[in-house]
Amino acid sequence: MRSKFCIISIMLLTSCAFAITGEEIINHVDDNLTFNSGAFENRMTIHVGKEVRTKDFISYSKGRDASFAEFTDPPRDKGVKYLKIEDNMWMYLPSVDKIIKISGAMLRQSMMGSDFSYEDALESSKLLDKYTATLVGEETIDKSPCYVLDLTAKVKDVTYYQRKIWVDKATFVPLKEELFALSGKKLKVMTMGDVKRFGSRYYPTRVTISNLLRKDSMTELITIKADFNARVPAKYFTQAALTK
Amino acid sequence: MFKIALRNIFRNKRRSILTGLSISVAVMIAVYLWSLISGIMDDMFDNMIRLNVGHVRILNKDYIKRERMLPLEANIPNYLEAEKVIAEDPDVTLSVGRIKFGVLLENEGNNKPVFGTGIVPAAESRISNLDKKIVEGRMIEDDQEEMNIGVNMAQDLGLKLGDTLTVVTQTAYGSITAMNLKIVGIFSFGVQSIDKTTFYMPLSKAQQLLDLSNSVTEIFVYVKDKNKAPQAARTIQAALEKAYPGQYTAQAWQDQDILYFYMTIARNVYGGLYFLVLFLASFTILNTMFMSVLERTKEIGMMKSLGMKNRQVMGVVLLEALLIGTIASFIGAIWGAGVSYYLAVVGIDFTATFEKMGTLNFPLSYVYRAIFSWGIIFFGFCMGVLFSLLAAIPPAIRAAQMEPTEALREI
Repeated sequence: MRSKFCIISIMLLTSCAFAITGEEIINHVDDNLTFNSGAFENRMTIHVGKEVRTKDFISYSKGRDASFAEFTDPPRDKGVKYLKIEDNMWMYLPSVDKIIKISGAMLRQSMMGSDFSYEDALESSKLLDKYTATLVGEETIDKSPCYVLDLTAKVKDVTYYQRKIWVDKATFVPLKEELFALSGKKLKVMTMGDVKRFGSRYYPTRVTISNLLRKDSMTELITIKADFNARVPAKYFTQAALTK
Repeated sequence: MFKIALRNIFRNKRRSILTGLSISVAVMIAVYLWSLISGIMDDMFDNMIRLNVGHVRILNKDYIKRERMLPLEANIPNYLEAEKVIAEDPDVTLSVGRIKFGVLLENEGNNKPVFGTGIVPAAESRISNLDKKIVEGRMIEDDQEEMNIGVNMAQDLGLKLGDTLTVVTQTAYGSITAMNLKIVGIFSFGVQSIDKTTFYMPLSKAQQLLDLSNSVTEIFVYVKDKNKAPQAARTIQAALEKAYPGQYTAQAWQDQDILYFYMTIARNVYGGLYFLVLFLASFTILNTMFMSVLERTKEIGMMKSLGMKNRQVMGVVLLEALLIGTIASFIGAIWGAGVSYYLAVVGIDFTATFEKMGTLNFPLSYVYRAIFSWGIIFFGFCMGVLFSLLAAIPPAIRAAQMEPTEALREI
């Protein structure tokens, strides 16, 4: 009885303390991280144990639904292309001149050997479509005051049943995210940094992700160049662009 | 006494022949059964050594823990350096690196999980005899984007010589990777699990495909005497431990595979079966000897009343059994030798059976061949004699214990 009372009083207190709701925060985050079109130059650094591998790629996006990426370095991966249209993903392998559709079990596998899975790369729908967000507190990360949000899946087909997100109060850019399985096991930890301002939006140009199921593994993704006003020709978002 | 025993045998020819025949048949079955079992066992061990493990296998310690997953990242980097360490053992005759990896092969909509193996083509004639098992086309050559596939895999996926197959798999770092390989040869080892699910490609190309330059996942080591592999494994292990502390493990073929464990069990089961056959045969001998003792109750009574001692009566019956047993076992052993010889040369073809059973992940050949060995035949003969003698003991005791007066009264 006593503990029940405690919980209720904490719940009352928290809802009074924050004027902003979880959903509003996530909406702000979405505003920052989605764009109508963009052109990027990126560098992915994969750390596994002592080994470090760097991969460069350029990417184009159109809205939430379409994106295209082409690897330019190292020579081994040069010419590898990915195309994502809505929930579909294709990969082009220049060594055999073949397009492979990434589907089924493959989606959960590592993308280019990184800690990102194909599924992570595919994720495009708004978080609020699949999760209910609750503001659970405030914490400070790297001197930035943050909202702490708990997201719980409201649909079944999600890889991460639960997410915990730390969102910077000033910029509405998430600075840290933890991803959990239905069992409660922590699967991945992401951190976002080097937040830069592009017009009215704040965008993290450095993302690190650790797949906790892999031993000693961390991937860092740096956006070297970002152009949110780029006019990206539609031809990039077709399968024909893969083989060119 | 010997005369009496001999006379007894010839007096009732039908009974003697019947007893002898049952002994002969039992010995024959025992001989060829054991030949066949030895043949199957040897074949399994031989296949296992040639195709799966080598005499001693060097692996990364992390690899062993997850061997079923074929973890490419737990490999042996700069394996040529490690081979130098291995070569320091004077018993080593050959060491060669390999990479085994999983692939989902796809051809015209047929998907099939198979195992790719990167090999050094030149060394393979001393390992798997791949060069002699090519039934169509030729063996792969080093540094070429070529492959040899098993005859059953070709059937299952509808592939033929000259086709190019796209092999899609993951690199040691988890990226998707692919290579076009031309089928230059089709092999048939006569081993279901290999012919159906394995393809061979040059090691250098496998390294390129899997992003494993200068690395392999296993090193097969061959030593002068395969029975001394465990000692060699210890020597190599010690040398590797010195050069690469805590990195690698050297496993002798005798103590690495779970398969070996099963095979030991199988050998015991077959051994038990063998003795069961002899045991059942000894019952027929027991039975016929009892019959012959009962039939001759009167006779025995007579002998006893004429002053024959118990020991002598027993001796007559046992001698009779020994004589029949020896002759019958000899005949049986010759029959058994004939059958074993036939099975050793021609073998029993299980192709049809295995096709019905589907893929077995067991290194069994399609054709079982027995081993023809004088040792097995002689052993069978001795067992025959021994069991006939043993089976004659209870009736002999019975005969000895008869009361002469009672025995004479019997009709």
